[in-house]
Amino acid sequence: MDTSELDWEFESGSFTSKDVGNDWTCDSSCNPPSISNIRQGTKDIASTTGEFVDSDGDGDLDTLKVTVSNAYPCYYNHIDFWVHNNGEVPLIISKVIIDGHVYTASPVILCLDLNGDGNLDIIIRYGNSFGTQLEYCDSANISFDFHILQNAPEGQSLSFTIQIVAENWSP
Amino acid sequence: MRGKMVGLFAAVLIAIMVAGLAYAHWSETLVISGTVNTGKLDLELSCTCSDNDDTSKDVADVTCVVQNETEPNSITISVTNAYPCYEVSGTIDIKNVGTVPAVLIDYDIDLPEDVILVDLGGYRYKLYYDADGDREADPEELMATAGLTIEGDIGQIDAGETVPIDFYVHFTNPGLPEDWSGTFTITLYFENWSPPT
Repeated sequence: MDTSELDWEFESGSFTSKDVGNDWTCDSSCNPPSISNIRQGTKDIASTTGEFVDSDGDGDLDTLKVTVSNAYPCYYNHIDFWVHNNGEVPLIISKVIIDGHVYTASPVILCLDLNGDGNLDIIIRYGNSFGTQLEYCDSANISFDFHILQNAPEGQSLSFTIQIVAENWSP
Repeated sequence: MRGKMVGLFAAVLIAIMVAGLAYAHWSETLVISGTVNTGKLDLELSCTCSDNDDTSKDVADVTCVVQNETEPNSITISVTNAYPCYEVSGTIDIKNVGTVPAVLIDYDIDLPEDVILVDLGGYRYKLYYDADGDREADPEELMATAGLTIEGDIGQIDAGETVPIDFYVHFTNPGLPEDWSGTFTITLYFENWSPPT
């Protein structure tokens, strides 16, 4: 008995960033977490790039490396990209894990202390893709935004991870 | 007995099917790996100063020294043997050697002992020597006038930019004591620029 393959990938070239030109900012809170009043400023200081990578060499782009350069407190950006079902069975986006925090439904928004110094450095808001069903060769747009918080340390490199989990569709 | 065996077999079969349904999901994960490299807020001060002493009668002296090793940055201006009509002047350069724009949010002026500073507004000041110790700026205690001129935007110093601040202190009668010497320390506090609210 031959089984089908569950497989999906990032679509090459689909990364887009709201920060084109002058930087953006917003208001945010961590208690409870919220992002609002997104607006563009008057200076171009930081930047964000994205690179798709095939980390396991199987021919699929399975990792999106997002790099923010010269970030500062109050810097905001919105990232979006497309994902594509290149497997043989329909899939459903079922779970998002952000730095170990597991979500199976919206809203997904949280503040994180990325360097363990007791201060919150970033707020991340993930768009609602739960339950999105992709048929074979179907694509979907996914996005997230982030805001660097006031206590983010200067001159450091901070990391975060977002895992997007899809499962095979079943009746 | 046979009926019980059939029923037991059916129950086991159903249990296996249910368990199979509960664990029927494959999964695949895509990963977003985020790296946030934060910029650096760093200001460097430098200072030059001079006086109007006649070179043939170099009675008084002024020096200025900056402290950039630790934050906050500071400048110390020392005056020795001031006399009426003696004037010191100079320039303090504030250079943004970091990577993000900076904003001057506050400053402190540490005055010599018994000196009172009166802010006249518009970066103009009068200095009084509190000879009677009443902590009041009495007219007869006026010892100097001073002023600043800021060239550039102190509220937004971009990376690589320098904002010069020219200053002067003109010592005068009637309040300046004889052979007066004193030290002024100016401490500057900066934070990173943020987009307006």
